[in-house]
Amino acid sequence: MVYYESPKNTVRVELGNRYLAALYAWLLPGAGHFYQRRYTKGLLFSITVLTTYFIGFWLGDGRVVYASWKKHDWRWQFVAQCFVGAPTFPALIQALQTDEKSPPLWIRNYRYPPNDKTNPAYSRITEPSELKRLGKSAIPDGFMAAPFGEVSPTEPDVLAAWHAELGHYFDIATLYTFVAGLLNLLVIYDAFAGPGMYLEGTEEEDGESGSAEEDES
Amino acid sequence: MMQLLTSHYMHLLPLIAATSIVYGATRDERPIFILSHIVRSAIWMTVFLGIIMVVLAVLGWLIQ
Repeated sequence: MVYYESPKNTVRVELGNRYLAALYAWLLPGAGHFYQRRYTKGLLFSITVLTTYFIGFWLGDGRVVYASWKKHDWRWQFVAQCFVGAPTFPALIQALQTDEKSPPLWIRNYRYPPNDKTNPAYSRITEPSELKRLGKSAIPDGFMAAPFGEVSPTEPDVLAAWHAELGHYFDIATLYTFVAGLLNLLVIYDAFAGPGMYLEGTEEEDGESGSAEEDES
Repeated sequence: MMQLLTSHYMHLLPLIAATSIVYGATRDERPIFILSHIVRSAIWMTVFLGIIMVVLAVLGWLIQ
């Protein structure tokens, strides 16, 4: 069994299988602490990280968490967002399933194509009859999917339409989900190595940083 | 004052709260010490961001 002991032995935490705890903490924020029976901290982490993530998700209308490696839309923020774990898995599934030609899974709505003469390019289609008229030329918006089609730095595209619809909330929502991911990184580390009680050790000269130790008992 | 309350800076408050809670809770295991760390983290983060905001505001005012 692995234990964490603080510098002055005031705190002793049973970490269990800490690799498994870290995996659980990544899969669902707080789950690693529940596995270690640190219920209060687990609940605190779970509520805080998931609330931050879902506020961002809501502010961004569910569009700011997606994985994309396109030329002009390399979504580096997803690297941090994916540390929230399971709530970001649909974006990974979309990234693996969807490419330039195949439509995304779980389509939420459709948009007018750029060559449609009666409506603004990339605006949302609200009438079912319009969708029928356009057929396969309608552009799909998938749940947690990257913007469909090519992204251009100069021409209108789906990503530009998202930015136009959400305004500054696109960036604020990205920030919230990004920060939630980074916070869960701290939570994962706490589940793996115990609390970072370095301040306790710096108060007196004999203090050393806390450590995780193997204990036969 | 009303302009500040309705500005985008208000979006920082939940982020400061969340960051303070998580960071503070990873510093200790005992609730009273966790609470102390949360309060201290929130204060220094607010002061740090406040200083940056003031510097940017002054720079903006000088450029105008």
